Amino acid sequence: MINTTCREVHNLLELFFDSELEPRQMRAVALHSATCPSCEEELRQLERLQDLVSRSVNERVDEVELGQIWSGIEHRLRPRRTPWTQRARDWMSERELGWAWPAFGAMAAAAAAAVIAFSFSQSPTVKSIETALVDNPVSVHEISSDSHVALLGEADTLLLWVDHELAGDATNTAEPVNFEEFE
Amino acid sequence: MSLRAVTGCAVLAAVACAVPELSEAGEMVALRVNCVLASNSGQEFDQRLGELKPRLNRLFRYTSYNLVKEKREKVTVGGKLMFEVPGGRYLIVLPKQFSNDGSVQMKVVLLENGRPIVNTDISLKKSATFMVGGPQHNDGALILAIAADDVVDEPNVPAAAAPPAAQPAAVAPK
Repeated sequence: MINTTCREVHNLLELFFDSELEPRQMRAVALHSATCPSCEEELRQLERLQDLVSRSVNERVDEVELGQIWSGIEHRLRPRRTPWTQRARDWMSERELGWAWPAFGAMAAAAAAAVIAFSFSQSPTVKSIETALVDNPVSVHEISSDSHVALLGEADTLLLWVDHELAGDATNTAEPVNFEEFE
Repeated sequence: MSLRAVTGCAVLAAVACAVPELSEAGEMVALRVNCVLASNSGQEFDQRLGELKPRLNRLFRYTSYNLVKEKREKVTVGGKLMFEVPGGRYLIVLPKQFSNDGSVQMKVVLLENGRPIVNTDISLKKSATFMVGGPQHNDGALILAIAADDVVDEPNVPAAAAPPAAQPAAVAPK
């Protein structure tokens, strides 16, 4: 490529300027441009054009408020908060406990049902449960029972509700009465 | 005689033997015990319940109230009131002493088949009512209302004047 013509080099100047030619072509273009004022001038114009574009782009970039851009895209980059149920599943899956998820769900449902059932079992017909009233003309000092008991105070009345479903002595674990304590 | 009846008699006999004679002071309290069967079958309110009606209405949501039994008895402090409750149960009320504020301290025990369902110590003033509820009977629940109708101070009451320890309670017609 020693005898490279201006026409051939002219077609390669942009690639030469961007260093995208093979070493052999780079060397040939460089030798030609050093001795060819036209091609050298072409290279200088490319260099000025590059400087102009670069300066313009940099000035434009400096005018941009990057903070606003970040705030606009930050929420899209933040990890999405998954529901606790999904996180629990993920936690158990990581520990190979995925099989237990239905069991935990059943246990939670059973516990909730038990709480509701217990609340109603106190007495579905008693209006509300309160503690013993100190100023009530009737007061309870001590209660001993194996059953669920609840106190309901109202004006001059105190109710001690005993939730005792006895289907036989098998469920009553209380000791027989010690009548000596009544003396 | 059924096993339940035998057990009940044994309990009554044991209580009768265990509870001491009349207290030396001879203080007495007039107790009244009402046994009410509350249920949601029907809309009947037994007129014999009288002053208990507003109390029951305020405390419960049952639709029907029937007086099953009633017993009034003057009981000496240190004595006892035995009250047979349907279903092999017994209510024992034992006045222990009077307090300065006019209330009487009592032990209330509800037995079922000779075993206590609940054993409690209370203070009860005149005109106040203590209720023990919950035992199931038929299609409802039993409510036992205990009231001290009057507090009588009768010092030096001879033991012979005291009412018998356990009187057969009149069963109210349903």
